[in-house]
Amino acid sequence: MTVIEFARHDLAPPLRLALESHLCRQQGREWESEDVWEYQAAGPSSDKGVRTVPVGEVTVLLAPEREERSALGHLASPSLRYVVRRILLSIPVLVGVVVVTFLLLRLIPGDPARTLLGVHATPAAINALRHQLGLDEPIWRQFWAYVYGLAHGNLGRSIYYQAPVSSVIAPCLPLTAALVLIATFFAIVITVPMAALAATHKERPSDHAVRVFSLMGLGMPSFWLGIILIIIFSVDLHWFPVGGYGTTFWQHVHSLVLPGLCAAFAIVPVLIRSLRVGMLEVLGADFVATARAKGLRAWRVTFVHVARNALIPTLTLLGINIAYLIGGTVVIERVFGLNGLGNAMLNAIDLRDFPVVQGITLIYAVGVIGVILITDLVTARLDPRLRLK
Amino acid sequence: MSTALASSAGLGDSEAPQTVAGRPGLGSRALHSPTFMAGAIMTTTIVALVVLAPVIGRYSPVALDPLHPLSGPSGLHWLGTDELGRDTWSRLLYGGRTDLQVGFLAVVFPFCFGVFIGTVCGYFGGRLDAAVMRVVDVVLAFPFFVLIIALVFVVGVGTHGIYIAFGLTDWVVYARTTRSATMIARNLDWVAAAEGGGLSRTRVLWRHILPNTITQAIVYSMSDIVIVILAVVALGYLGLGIQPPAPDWGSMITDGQSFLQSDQWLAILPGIAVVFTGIGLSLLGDGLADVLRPE
Amino acid sequence: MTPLLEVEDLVVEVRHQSSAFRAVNGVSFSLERGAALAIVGESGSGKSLTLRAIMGLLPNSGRLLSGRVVVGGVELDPGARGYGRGHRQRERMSIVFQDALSALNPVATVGHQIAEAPRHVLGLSRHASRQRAMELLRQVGIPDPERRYGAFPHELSGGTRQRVMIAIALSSDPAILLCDEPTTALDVTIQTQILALLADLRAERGLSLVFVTHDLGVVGQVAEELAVMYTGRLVETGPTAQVLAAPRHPYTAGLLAAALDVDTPDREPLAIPGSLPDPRQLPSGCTFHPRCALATLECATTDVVLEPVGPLRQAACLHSDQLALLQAAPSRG
Repeated sequence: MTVIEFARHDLAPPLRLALESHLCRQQGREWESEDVWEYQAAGPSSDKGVRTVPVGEVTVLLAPEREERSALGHLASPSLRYVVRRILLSIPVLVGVVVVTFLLLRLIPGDPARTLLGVHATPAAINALRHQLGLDEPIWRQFWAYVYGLAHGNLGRSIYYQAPVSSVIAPCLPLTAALVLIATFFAIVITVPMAALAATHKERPSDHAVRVFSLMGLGMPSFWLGIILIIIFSVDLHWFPVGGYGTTFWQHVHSLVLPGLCAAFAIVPVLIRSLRVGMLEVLGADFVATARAKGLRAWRVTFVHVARNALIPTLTLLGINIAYLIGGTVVIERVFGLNGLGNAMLNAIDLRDFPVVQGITLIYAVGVIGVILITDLVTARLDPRLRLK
Repeated sequence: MSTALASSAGLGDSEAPQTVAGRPGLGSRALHSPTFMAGAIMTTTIVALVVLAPVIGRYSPVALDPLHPLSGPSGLHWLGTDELGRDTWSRLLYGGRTDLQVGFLAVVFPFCFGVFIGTVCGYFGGRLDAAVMRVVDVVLAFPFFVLIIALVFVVGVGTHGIYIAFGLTDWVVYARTTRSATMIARNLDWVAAAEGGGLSRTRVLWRHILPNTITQAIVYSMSDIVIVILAVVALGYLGLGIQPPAPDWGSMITDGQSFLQSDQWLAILPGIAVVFTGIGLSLLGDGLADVLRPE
Repeated sequence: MTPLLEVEDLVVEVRHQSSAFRAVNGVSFSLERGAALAIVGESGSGKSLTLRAIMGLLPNSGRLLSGRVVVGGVELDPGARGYGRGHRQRERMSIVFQDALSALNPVATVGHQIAEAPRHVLGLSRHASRQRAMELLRQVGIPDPERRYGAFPHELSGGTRQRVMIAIALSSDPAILLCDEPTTALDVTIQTQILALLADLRAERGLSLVFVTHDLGVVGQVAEELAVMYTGRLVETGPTAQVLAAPRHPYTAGLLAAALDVDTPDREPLAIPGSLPDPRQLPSGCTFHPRCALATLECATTDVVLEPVGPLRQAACLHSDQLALLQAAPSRG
């Protein structure tokens, strides 16, 4: 056995860290600083019941697997445990989001009521608004009123419309939801084939073409792209409406094509770059070699083995970037004259209608939290390794 | 399965904390990286153009020329004029000056604060770390642009609103990446310190940790500047950013949108400027990543 | 009798960043039916790539420049696209990798992966392939196959995973098993079990084995023939017992001296002086000469090839006889 004996002192720290990370990655887990590593002089036999792993010519003893301690231990299925844990993890974030939206009002410089109403406001109107916004109460009571209202679906009262914020916003939700869905669809449909093409033809012309394409998108304002598309497809070619939403279902879809493409392009470049790298990793993985070694047909290897594994980082990436995509729809709605949530928010800003702005911001954040939660759960369903984390 | 390179060499190549100055050939590696050079050239071009705006811009960006509204390219106005007769070429240059300036400046505080808090969290851990990470999660739960707009609305539009809005939100990614890098580096030096290498003083630890974590933050800041500039331009488009009459690419696009049927270039040109800047900075960031962290 | 597997002059080029070099530089060997050959070398000697080249599984950075592979008298073309599918002779070979965790699909159950080849390559029905998988699980010594069938790779221990890998390799009913350091990542006790398993399988199925490893201590238990590899070339071949007892190449002698001896555990291991050369800049002549105690000027200038040094033995060394005399000397005293 060719072994280089070493004790703790012989292995330089950088090498040690690299070794530890390498071994962790092999086990499919992340290097954590709390892990305890035991290094020992390598001998002919190790009788400690601890695993040895040779890496090159170095034999390393590994610390035993971390114990999984969970308060949910009594729940039988690890999947169920994971779902519950994941949902529980969202709650602090939700609370934080509520706090932040509450604090928005306090960030208004000077007297919020006066600032919102403008210089021409009468003292009576200012006082009325102050009372409506609850500014004359102690802050903890304001917060409680806010949370209490939220729990009952009450997002506040629009200053401009003098109607519940929820009724002002509700008609806009479907459009934005549809836009986000269509944009996500486009994002996936564009990214996956291009990333796959680039990864499987690494360093060849198609790879370079894809990379150039994604590079161009990196600096492109999506609303500007929208204008360009309008010029080409609406003004010159008349394929799509210049703006508006239409009345029938298919008109809706038709009018969301260009906006959806624009919104998708906000994240497509980043997705392509990341997914390409992710796919390259999968393609180079040993289990692909094993699959090919079995003599399976190429398409079977690609779709059953590679795709299933590459899908996981895709979804994770999508979840992370979906917030950026959703944020992009705000401007897109303005460009295309779509009366969705983003447009409502911008209108409210023009009208200085704070409660509406606050309510929409909250809705957006809740939406993002929900989408990320769903993505995580779907990813866990696809990747059995995640359920143990 | 390895290419036929010795495994010990493969292991040693992973990031090891060294002072940036101690790594040989940094400059020459930069020169040899096509990505870096392309990015550097593009960025320098843009920066040079906007810095020299007073020199090469032929008119003031707010100077009206009521005799020549909406004119095409000519000897008088290289890229034509807008509906108020303002020279497009000059407006592009000055608009870039404003946008780039605001973009770069808006990143300064998030960078400094984010790296600082990330280092502290990564190094000390504990409850401070947990609390800050919760805050980070909350900030990241909002769609970036939505939060920016909301903040600009409440604190007031214009450049000062932009700085405050980004200052409050943009630091989170810096904090996160710096924290992870610090956690790795900390453990490294902890071990070395335990070996009695004389590295137990906090100050020297900073000298080992910080150079490594800073490089990651610097690389990220390149793409962050692009995001910020895009957001500034978008805010300008919505009228929530840099206020007229100060020139700004975003508001130029808004103005131009009214003339899509006839003078499309008014809306298109500013966008091209943004794209060019974005590509240049992204390439620079990529190149920087290649140079600072070899494979 | 024609050998079952013949490999002639295999040359594999590897591209790394901007340079290319030959990681495997003219390797030839043959394998009789039912025989076992061990290929020993340090990391970076090119032994893994040799196996991969034969199976047509080179990574993207590798390229087969030349070489013949003949299985059962039929010549194969490992460089061809579509190699491995419909090549009946190629299907008589299977490979077992070193790290079962990365060599198994993480999102598919173990049983599913074992049953895959019988179902999609051999064309068995779903039921029959499942039965076959169960049977294989039993044969490789995994207890409770019904329960293990639905397990995922990360849920199993290292030794069990490696057995699964062997089961997958056996699932297509091969005649030749190529093993790429299958026991290197395992605990010593598990290692012995796996080697015993391989020996049993050989006996039961008449499998032929090519076993690649860097661990000289293992080869005695595994193979009757031994080939030593250094910087992409074979430097010594012969029956295992003879080579280990009396090596005819200084590198082999060095490897033996560097191994820990069970009888003298307190002795410091003697490392071979120098280090593995950069494959992009190999020494001239005999690539081992900078590290060799017997090297002369001739070694640096002559292209040294394998020459017979005994009835079944070959060595690529100009001073092979001198080495034999040196080794014989102590026992005479």
